[in-house]
Amino acid sequence: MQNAKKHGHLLFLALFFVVNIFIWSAVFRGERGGVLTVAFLDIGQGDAIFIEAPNGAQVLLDGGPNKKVLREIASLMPFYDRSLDVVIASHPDKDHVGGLPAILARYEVGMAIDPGIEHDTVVYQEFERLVKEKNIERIRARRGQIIWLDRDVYLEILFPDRDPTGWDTNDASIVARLVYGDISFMLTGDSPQKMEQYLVGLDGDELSSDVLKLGHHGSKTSTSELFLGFVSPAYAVVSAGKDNQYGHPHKEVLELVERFGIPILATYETGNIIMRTDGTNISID
Amino acid sequence: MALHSGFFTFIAGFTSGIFFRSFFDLGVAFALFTIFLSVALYLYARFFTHKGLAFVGLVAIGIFAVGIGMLRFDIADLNKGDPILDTLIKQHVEVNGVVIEEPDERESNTRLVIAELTVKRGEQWEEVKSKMILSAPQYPEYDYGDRIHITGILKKPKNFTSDTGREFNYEEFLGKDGIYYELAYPETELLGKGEGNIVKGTLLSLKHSFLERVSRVIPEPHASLLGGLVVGAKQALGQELLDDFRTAGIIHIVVLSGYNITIVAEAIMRFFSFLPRIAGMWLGGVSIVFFAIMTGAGATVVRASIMALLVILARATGRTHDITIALFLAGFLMLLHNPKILIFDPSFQLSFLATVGLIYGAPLIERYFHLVPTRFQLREFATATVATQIFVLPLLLYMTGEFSLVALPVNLLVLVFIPLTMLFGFLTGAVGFVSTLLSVPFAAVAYLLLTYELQVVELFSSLPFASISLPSFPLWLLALSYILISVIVFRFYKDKRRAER
Repeated sequence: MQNAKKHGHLLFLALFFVVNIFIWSAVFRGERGGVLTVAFLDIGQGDAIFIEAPNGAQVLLDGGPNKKVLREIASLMPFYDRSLDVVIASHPDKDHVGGLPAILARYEVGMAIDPGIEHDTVVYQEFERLVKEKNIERIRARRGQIIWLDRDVYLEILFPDRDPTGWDTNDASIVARLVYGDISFMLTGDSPQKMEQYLVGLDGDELSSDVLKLGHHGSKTSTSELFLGFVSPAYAVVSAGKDNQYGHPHKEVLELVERFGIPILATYETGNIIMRTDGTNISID
Repeated sequence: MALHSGFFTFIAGFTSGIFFRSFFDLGVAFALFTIFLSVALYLYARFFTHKGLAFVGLVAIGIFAVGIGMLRFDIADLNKGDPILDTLIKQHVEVNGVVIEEPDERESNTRLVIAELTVKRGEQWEEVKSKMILSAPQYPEYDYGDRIHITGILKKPKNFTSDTGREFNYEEFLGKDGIYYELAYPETELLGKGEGNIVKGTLLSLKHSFLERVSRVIPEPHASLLGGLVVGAKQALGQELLDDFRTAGIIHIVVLSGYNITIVAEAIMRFFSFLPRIAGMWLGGVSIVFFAIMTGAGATVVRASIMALLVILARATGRTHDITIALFLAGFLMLLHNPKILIFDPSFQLSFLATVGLIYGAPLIERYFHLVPTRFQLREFATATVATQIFVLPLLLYMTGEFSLVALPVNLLVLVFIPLTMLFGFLTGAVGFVSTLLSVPFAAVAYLLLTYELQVVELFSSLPFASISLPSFPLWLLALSYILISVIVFRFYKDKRRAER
């Protein structure tokens, strides 16, 4: 009996100790110190970009080809955080939306954004079905929309600028620019060269960004010299799988980027590429 | 004594017959001839000699059993595929069938086994006898008991060579479950739901919603690992993590359903060892049966569970001799039910060896562990781990060629916490049926334990030389290893018996 009492005390103390650690770690997590995190996830051949604003607002832009995104996203979030504020499907191709149904099934999602193109791939239909079933607010991305994530952090939709119904899926790809203070990220999905040139034609000066995720996993169908010049990034990111069947990234694109003297970061080389910025500087983990 | 040796001779003969027949097919006539020979031998001994009758009788029983074993295999081999399907190989076919196994969800596709097939020939649908396997895309998702329509290219399964250069007999591996065809590049469509066995269907849907509750509060890859531990879920942990588990020498707790049940059952009993002995046994036994039911009670799991129960019984009674009879009888019945598992089912082989290791090996090596502290049952965990490792190692080396140097510490560090993880994982899912919020505290503890286990695996697998790969481990070495182990075990028990007298 005496023994049980003694152990009871110890157990009680241990419990409080654990709870204490938990609370403090949560507090420290909550304290992001004005830092925006942008993570290009290593999900194989595809795109998945996780964004966390200083206030904790979270966006997942694309979900990679399969469920691997679940593991990668979990490694960047505390385990009790089971919600995402915005999920974006840049376009309905499987290497961008394959993991999204699994995300919608497991996380509370506040808003779903897509270009509003019809597509008959089963994965995309599953995505649409879940958005409907879970009563998630669905928004069609259109040029001019601005999604405020935090006081100084916003996502600006540059494309599509009209209803893309009936288009090729890559053509309909959402192009978005993430801005925090002086720092910006150009995220172009699989948008091809003709759309890049169209954007340059609309307003070339607004494209300038510090980081460019190379369109279409570094395929030569994207990243025209003109577009690269107008964006003139400090870093270029390739999101692709190792030894993928398409040969992405194509060497023409890599050569072009190197000619501009821009350092290239690739998910298939380094795994998750995690960038942090306070609005003036960028650091890479 | 006579009955006794007759029993073992029969089982040894039966097993040898199946063993031989697994590699060489000399036709049904050969099996019948063997049986005839044994009967003739017996009659000859009975009527024409008087000396050494007992011995000749035993030989006759042995030969008779060899014949029966071969015959049993012949019968199992009778329906090898279907004549109609055989004419359609490499062609584009249309098939209707029912999903009769739990869909095996991999990272980017799902493997379905279908039966009750009809195939379209011309304008006609014809019934065919066989099962088929296909790798379907992840979506749409199908459940056990769904009737689906599939188009695809009909193929025969082909053996393949693994990364370490071992040939894997995929054809026979599937054949043991009556699967003789594959459908490549399938396109599927749902026709109807709710066919198949109702009990199994209900259990699997219960399991499905259990896993869903868990994944609502526990992130990946923790949720998948937990699913595998608690309800034997075949979910994707992802290739990299699986490789880590393999390197760390603890892959058995996640993939080989069978071997893991024995080990986990043992760990559960250890965990409950603070209770009166008999209570611990009951809890262990009930957990195994419960686990088997929750997994959907597939043949593999049922076989492994029976063997795990035998281990518990051995611990409870301490009557090694009776357990030996029970174990061999169980093995015999399993082979009688499906003779192909002897050679072509790694999970049967491993769980049998692990069981033998725990029952006979553990007492043998216990004396070398007197330096290990007895606190927290550490010594018992160490003996059990080492004993199973020794008994399965030669086979694993033969099959995979990989030898994990960190397996021992990893198994010790991880297995100690597995029962507690299972308990909290189970509570997380169970409470989740009532309220997601209420399940969070349980999830937190389970998450902590799973994080620890994953960290151990990742840490040890990242060490240099964590695992070495043997270029070859020939069959004769495999045989020699087990002969050696058997001799040591036999001598140990012989000495022990003599000492007891």
